[in-house]
Order: sequence, then structure tokens, then C-alpha cells
Amino acid sequence: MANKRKGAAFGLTAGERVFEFVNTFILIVIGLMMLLPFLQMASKSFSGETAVLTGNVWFWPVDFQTGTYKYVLRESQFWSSLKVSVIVTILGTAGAMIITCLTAYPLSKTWLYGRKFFVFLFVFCMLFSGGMVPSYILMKAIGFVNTMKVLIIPGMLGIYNMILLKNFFEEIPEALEESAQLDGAGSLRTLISIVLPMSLPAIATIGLFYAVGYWDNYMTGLIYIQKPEYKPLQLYLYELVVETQHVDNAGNPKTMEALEDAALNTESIRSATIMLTCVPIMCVYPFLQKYFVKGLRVGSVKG
Amino acid sequence: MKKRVLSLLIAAALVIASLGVMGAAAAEGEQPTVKLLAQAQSFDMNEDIVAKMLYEATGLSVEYSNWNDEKALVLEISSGTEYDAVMLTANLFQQMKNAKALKDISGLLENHQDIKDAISEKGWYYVTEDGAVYGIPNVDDAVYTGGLGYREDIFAENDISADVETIDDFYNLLVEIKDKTGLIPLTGSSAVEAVIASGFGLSYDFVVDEETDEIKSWLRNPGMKEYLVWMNKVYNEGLIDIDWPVNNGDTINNKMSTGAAVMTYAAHWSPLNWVNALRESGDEDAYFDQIVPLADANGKRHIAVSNGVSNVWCVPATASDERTEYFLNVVASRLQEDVYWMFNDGYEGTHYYFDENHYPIPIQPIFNDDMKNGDKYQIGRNQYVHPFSWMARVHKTQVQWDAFYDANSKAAYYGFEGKPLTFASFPEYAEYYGALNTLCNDYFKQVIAGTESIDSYDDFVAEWEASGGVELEAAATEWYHANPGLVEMARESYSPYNSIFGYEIN
Repeated sequence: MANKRKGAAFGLTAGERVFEFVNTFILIVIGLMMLLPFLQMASKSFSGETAVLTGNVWFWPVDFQTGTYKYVLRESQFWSSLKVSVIVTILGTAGAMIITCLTAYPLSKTWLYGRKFFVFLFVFCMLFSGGMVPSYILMKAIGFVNTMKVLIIPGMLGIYNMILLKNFFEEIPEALEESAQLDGAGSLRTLISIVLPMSLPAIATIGLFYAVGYWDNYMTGLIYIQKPEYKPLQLYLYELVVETQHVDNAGNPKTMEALEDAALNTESIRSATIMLTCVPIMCVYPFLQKYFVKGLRVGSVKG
Repeated sequence: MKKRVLSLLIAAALVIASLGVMGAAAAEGEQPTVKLLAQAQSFDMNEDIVAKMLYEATGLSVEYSNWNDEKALVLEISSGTEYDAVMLTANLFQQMKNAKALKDISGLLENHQDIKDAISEKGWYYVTEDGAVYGIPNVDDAVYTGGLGYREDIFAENDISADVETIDDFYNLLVEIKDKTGLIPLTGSSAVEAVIASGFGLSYDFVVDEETDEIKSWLRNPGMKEYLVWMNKVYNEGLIDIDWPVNNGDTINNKMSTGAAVMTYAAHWSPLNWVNALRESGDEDAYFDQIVPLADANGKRHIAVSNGVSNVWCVPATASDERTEYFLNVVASRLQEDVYWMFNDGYEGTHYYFDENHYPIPIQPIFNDDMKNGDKYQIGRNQYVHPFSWMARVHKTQVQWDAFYDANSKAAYYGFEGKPLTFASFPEYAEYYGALNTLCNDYFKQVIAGTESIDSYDDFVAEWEASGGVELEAAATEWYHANPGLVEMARESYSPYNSIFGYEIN
């Protein structure tokens, strides 16, 4: 196998070329499947209402307008929800990274006393949760319901993310840490100065998971938030979209008043709201991508 | 030492408590903020201009929160809530009432004759059990949302008459439209299109069989088989949309907005977007009118209406009488005639005016800007004002008003028919209804499109029975016999628009 590869150092074998072609093709198709609906949503948000209604909008705006965006940006609930989502995402991600690192690092040490037991506990809780009723009663008892805390704190330790990070930490050569310890660094100093800088790719990935998770989370708000001032953006969006579903299911209409109101919020307005909800988190990605690439390079040089 | 600390603490507590009393005394005459938990809205109910108008008019402070998830709501109420009142759907109301989670407010209502008078008897009947009153009902007036909307301009241009009574008339109409225009005469997606099904004596999926006094499915009605055969025939002859089984809201909107089809089911708010789109693309005269359900062999038209109690404002069982009294003060204030007009329609002269019939006409754009969310602030509906104030909301545009007026004046003339199972709340209903409904819709559409032969009808009924149909019918009958009043009330055919529009066909 290795010899064959060497022989093809300056060109690909026929089989590899076919593979490359098929692979590229499939990846392009998958990419388009993700991109095109998004593109159509964007086009609809900039198109005139009639063009959207008559089904003329595909991947480029027809009868270009920005009135829908002006309309959405005038809604006070949009701004108040945006504020909640930004705060929750920033504080949540920061807090989650700290807690996840502090949990994953000790668990990555094979000499930790009771390590297996703790890992078992975490995995057990990942697979089985108490369910909604005990969770609600708990959140209510500790005064979290209807506060921003409920949107931030319970999501701060994603066990799957923690295990990913733990596995990454385990890959770091023990010798590096030992050398730091010889220089007099304690555990915390070793973690901050040696382990974390070497784990930037993993941290960037998990940070992105957390940030997207916090940003996209509407379920927590749906259950625990009743006060409009703590409603996150995704919940606002959920409500906008749910409103219109009453119209689509003509067989199962809600109150007539609700249907009428839904008819006022046109598809262009919904599309614009969805775009405005997606854009902020999409802006985060390019900044983190830098770390992905850097991380890969670091790995390759050392490897 | 310990004793001294203790006595100091008690003294401090007393001082604080007396300060509290003084504070309360100072605020006498002004009741504390009432906390309400309403259903989810996509706007902040505390910030809306209507909330401010209400505070100015009544002086009562109200703080709104919104619930989204039914399970979380049940947990919130059962684990002792801070809210003074909660808005429940009819279904949840039944559940919570049976779980004894709601407070009986009949005693406190004795001091509020104004509330009792303002809300219709139907509403009170719904929320009363053994003399106990469990909430303030939002009663829906019987309003006909709409029949088949047709292109009035195309009919006029081609000299086609919309005056149809029987199913044969309707068949001839479809043929005439197709021959004269070449367009799709009728588009849609419903397995059972109400206007046509009425011609076969069908109204609702479960009705009271007058002979046996039992609840029976419409599968038992021979009219269902005839309906399916008829639909399959017109489908094969190309008189209805070839895409009927696969259409959805978007494709139907598309066909109506581009003028590809002439008729479809149209709620009174639907034609507006179609008319706008058609006019923008050069069809200056595009307009819609309504065909209401056809007469069956006995000459009866089955006009289904939304009729019932959509929501109930309830007080949690844990609430004190004092807090409940504050809530009832808010209810009473909102049911006052002038306040009810104000928060639903705004101020006369600013947001609306009365035309020569004394119907309220909105002044745009301020009506839409300010009063868009007005109806969300209803706590109970004033039976005398609501049918009138609501006319402004369906008059936001002339197109919508014409569709509303046309459908309802015609329907008022023929009489409405309410859904017997409107208030159904028995476990079998929740268990079987949805699945059986899907089963029927799928089968009906297959027969209409011809992928399934009508010869399989008896087999299908057997499958339906085996899938829970028998249990559902039996349970529905049992529930009906235990609650005859609820079924009778749901079937009641009175609509305020009978008298407002005066039984005339325009």
C-alpha cells in the first residue's frame, strides 16, 4: 500500500482520480443542499411580497426591497430578544469553556483517584436524564425560572464536549507537563500555560459547539421563560413561525383572530427575521476558523 | 446573650412588618399589579401601545408573562405559581379543572354582576360545574370563515352564473368554467371539501345520529361514498386541479395569485394577497366572491362555523381571595363597553369611524399600527360589543371585508351548523382522533386521485374500525350522554351576524 502511494507521488492513480471526482461531487451536492435553502431564504427576504407569493423567487431577489428588514428591526421584541441571546451566548460560552476545561483536565489524568467512577457518573448522566418534571421543579425551587440564569447555567457542562476535550488532553505528551512541573508550575499553571495553548483547535471546536448551542437553543426558553424581557431570539423566531403554521394546517385551525394575524406576517418578513437570527452566529465562525487551520498546521509539523 | 439576639430579631421583624403595613396603607385605593400568564405572543404584551392605553383608561396595573409549553405550564400551576390568572386553551382548561388545579370563583363573582352580564350564557355554562365557576371564558361567536372563493371578474367576463344550489348545478358550473376559460376551475387540497361535501349531506366527521341518539362517524353516512365517487369523477374529467392530492398552502396560493385557477377554499382573509398579486401583474379587475356550501338532497346546506370557547382565563387553586378580587377588577374593567371598544379598536375618530350602517371602519394606517394586537388583551368577551367591534378588524381592507360580509350574510341566511365534538374532552379522543383523521384523509385522497378504487370502501371502513374507530364512536357517545348540554351548545346555530346582517343574500 505504502509503495503504491509512493509511486503516485507526482500524480494520482486512476482509482484515486475516480475517488477524488466522486468525493468532490458528493461534497459539492451536500454543500449545495445546505447552501441553496439558505440562499432562497435570503432572496425571499429581499423580494417583493407578490413575487414570493407567486413562487417566482429562487436564488436571486425579485422586486428588490429592504422594507421587510426595516419592519423587523422596528419590532422592539426583536431587539430585546437579540440582547438576551447575545448575553446568554457570550456568558454561557465563556462559562462553559472554563467549567469544561476544569472538568476534562483532571479526568484526563490516568493517576486520578476514582477517575473511572467519575467518568462513569458523567457518561451515565449523559445517557439518562431526570426528565422534564424534576428539572422544572428543581429550577423553580432554586429560583431560576424566569431569569437569565436558567438560559446560561444548566447548559454549562456538555458532557459530550467534555469527553471530547478529555480525549484531546490525553493525547498531549506527559513529558511536556512534567517539564513544566520541574520548573515549578502547579497543576493550574500547567493547564493554563502548557495544555490549553496546545489544545487551541479542540477548544475552538468545542467553543463553537457551545456558542452555536447557546445561540440556537429555544427549548430552554420555551419551558422556563414566561417573561417577555428574557425571551431569547430563537424563541421569538419560533413563535413567529408557529403563528403561521395555524394557517397551513387549514384542517386544524386555531382561533380566527390568530389566523388573521398570521396572515399579516408575510413570508418575506419571516424570511428576514430568520436571516437576522442566523447572521450574528455566522459571523463568529470565520474568527474561529483561523484556529482550526492553525491547529492543523501545528499538528502536521510536529507529527 | 442568645435571648437578647432573639428578641432583637423579633423586634426588627415587627418593625419591618409594620413598615410593610404602612406601605400598604399608603397605597390604598390603588390595587397592586396583577400578574397574568397569557399564551405565547411574538410581541411584548407589556410594551405594546394597547397595554399603555389600557393602563391610562383603567388605572389598573397589569404585568403579562407568556407560556409556550403545555407541560411546563401544568408544572408551573401545580407547583404553586406567582401568577394571579392564566389563559388556558379549552383542552387544557378541561384537564386542569379535572385535576382540581383551578379555583372556584363563583363566590367572588357574586359581587361582579357586570362581569356576569357581559359574558354570554353559553360561556358561563361551559366553565361551570356543579355550581362552581372555574374561569372567565372567551366565547367565539359563530362566524363563517368562508366557502369557495371564486373570481368574480372571470365569471362576469364569461357570463358564468355563480348561482348554484345542488351538486348537479355545481358540476355544470365546473364544466362551464373549463369550457369557457380553459383555466383550472377548482383547486384545493382538502380530502373533504366542505362546500361540495355539504351537497352529499356531510358536515362534520362526527355527528349526532338523530335516530339512535349516538355519535356516528361520517363514514357511516352513505353520502361519503357518493362524495368520493363524485370527486373521483371530476378529477378524472380534469374539472378539478390535477395536483389536488399533492397541493399545499403554497401551491394553492401560487395558482390563485397567478390566475391559473378560478376557485378555491377561501377564508375571508385569504383573497387579499391574491387580489394584490393579480392586480400587480395587470389583472386590474381581479376580485373574489363566495359560494357557500351546496344543498343536499333534502335542500339543507351544512354551513360549518367556528363556534365554541377558544380560551378560558383561570385562577390557580392556590391563589388567595384577595388576589383573585384584584384580577376580577381587571376583568370587569376590560368588559366595560367603552373600554372594550377602546382596546379592541382604538379611539373613535382616531382609529376608526362609524359608517351609515353603524359598522366601525378602521382608519389606516394608524389602526394597523396601533391596534394590531388589541384582541390579545381580551379577558372574556363582551357579548354585546364583540360582534360589532370585531367588524373593524375584518375591515382592514375592502377585499377582506367583502369576503367576510359576503360569506357571513349568505351563511346567516341559510343557518349555521356547529360541530358536536367542539368541546370533546375524553381520553379516547386524544388517543385516536388524530391518527384516524390522517387515515381517512389519506384514503380519501387516494380514491379522489384514482389510485384506490371505491370498491375498497368497506374494507377501509373495517380497517378504520379496527384502528380505534369503534372505540372512538363508543366513547364519544358515552361522553355525549354524560354531557348533553355541551353537545347541544356546540351545535347551536345562532350567530350575532344573523341579526346584524339581516338574513339577506346580497
